Amino acid sequence: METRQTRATELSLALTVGVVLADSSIVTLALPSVLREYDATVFGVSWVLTAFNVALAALIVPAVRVARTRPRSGWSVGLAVFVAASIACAASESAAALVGARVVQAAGGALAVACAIELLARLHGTHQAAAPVWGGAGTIGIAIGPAVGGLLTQLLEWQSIFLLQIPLLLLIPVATAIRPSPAEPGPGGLPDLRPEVGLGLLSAGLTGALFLLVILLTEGWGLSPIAAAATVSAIPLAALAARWLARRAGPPASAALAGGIAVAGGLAALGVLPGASWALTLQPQVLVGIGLALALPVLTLAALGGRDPEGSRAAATIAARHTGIVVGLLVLAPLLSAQLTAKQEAATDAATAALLDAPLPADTKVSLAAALGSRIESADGRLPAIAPAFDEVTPAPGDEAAYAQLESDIEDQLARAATSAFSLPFLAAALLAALALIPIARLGARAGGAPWVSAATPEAPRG
Amino acid sequence: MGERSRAPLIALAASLGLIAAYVGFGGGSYTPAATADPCQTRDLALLEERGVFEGIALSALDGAACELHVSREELAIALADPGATDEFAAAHDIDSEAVDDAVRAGLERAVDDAAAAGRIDGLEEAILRQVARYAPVGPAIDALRSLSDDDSVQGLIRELGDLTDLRIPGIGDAGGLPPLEQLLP
Repeated sequence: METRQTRATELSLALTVGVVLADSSIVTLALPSVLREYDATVFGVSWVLTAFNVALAALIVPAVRVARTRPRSGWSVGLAVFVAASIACAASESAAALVGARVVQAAGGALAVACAIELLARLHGTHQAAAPVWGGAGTIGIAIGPAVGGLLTQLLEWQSIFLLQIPLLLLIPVATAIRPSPAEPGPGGLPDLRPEVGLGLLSAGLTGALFLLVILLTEGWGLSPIAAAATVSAIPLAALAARWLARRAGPPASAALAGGIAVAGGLAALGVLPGASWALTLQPQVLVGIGLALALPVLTLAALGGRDPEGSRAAATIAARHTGIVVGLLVLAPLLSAQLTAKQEAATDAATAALLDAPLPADTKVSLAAALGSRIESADGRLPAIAPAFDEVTPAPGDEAAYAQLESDIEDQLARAATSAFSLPFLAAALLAALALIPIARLGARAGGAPWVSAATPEAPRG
Repeated sequence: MGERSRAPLIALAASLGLIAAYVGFGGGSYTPAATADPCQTRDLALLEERGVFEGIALSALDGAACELHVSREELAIALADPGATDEFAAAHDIDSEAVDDAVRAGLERAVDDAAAAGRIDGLEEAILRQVARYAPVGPAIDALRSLSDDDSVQGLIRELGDLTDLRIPGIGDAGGLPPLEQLLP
């Protein structure tokens, strides 16, 4: 019978998974602030994200050994290390110190998550029965991470992202109250890592939705972090709303395949945006969110339904997802950087053409060219805000309409440049997600009687 | 439609439908405007809306860009200051004299075109040819572009008078006030 204490314990464990995994994406919208504060390079700051995901992916499977033998103390120690490293992140005085603290934070997080998953499995009897709890918490955590981080960065400071995690320490007393039953040994059989490969590739694609989109919204289109956070909330909201759909999507193999197609399709749609409007990103985001709701639970349960005598497959699915995020970052970040450079040149040419051809006096154009030039230079490789340059120059009487039209034309060219710079990276992210269809389809091909299919059938959690 | 294929087909249809709709609304071509080929004749009506000399300057930029196989816009940015010109020359593996030569050739072609179209008279043509052959290139282009409010040869000479290092053999030394004024009726 499920008691109030059991529910509180379950909630605490799910919260641990959700918060730690949210940290893999939570600093996305804070990166521009970190970049400015430390006067670091874009590449250097990108390691604030990458280092966490690399460390988490590398350490979570080894952490299972502790989780199997001492899950309660492991959870407490993991949480304590995670929170201490979070404080160090907030207090760090250089980008290098921040990256170092993030690695320690990931190490503590890996231990806490591995132990939380083990404890949930013991509460529910099996890893398969516990998977919907931590799987849902983890997916929501990763998906809302950028939104929460953006909100905190704008309302407070980026350091508040890390300080807000201190209350996790309050969960530690819960660990002492847990009386876990022995864990059931996982099934034997031949190892089959196709679910993890599918999860990794989908996560690599998801990097496109989460990271590229927030950068496009804030740096490309100039949305505030709060507005960007609200916009990218469409993915987790759609994923939550679509959970009922997963039960009506037919056999699990079909649901996973449909999910993979939807994620790839949504990312491809982001690659062909017909305008620079946040509203145009909503439909693709909904498609991605629905796809995640359909595919991730099935793939996770497929992994847990396979060979797992050491009880490490649950951690392996998380390692696969974060390896996918790292792969996505390593593939997409250089691609985006190259595209931004190319499109900035195209935007400069287009803006110069608009300026040369504008029906304005030459002295106005020369003044504007100088103001725009200094804006482009101070933008340091990013797309510049041109309104201040236009404010610096006063048009001659009678030229106001042509002047406003020129500003509008140049704004349009810059928006086109920003949006099209993200096109190829989004399409590459779609390709990564589409590659996940190969292992997913092969799982489906052997679906008849396979253990993962029955494992993926929703069942009520045991208390 | 079988139960196994229903969900994947619906997902595929939704994905393709959204992508097709976005492409249909211009998603595939939502990019910065491409620069025009400087070797193609530009719309004369557009140039005629400008002052005579600004039109010649724009036409000269086209001609020079065509000679150098670059866009008019790239060349305009390169001529903004000597540092930019040097960067441009280095990027295209040419020396800055080659840039000057191309601009002079473009300016001469623009003067030819303007004279043939009857947009400038003989005196203006003579002065502009001297400018094309001997004046420092960047400032000369700037001077031409700055004349949209004063579309007269007097205005042109006034602008050229600001070019303290302008030396035009056979016409005079333009240090300080330009002796070009002596040519005025």
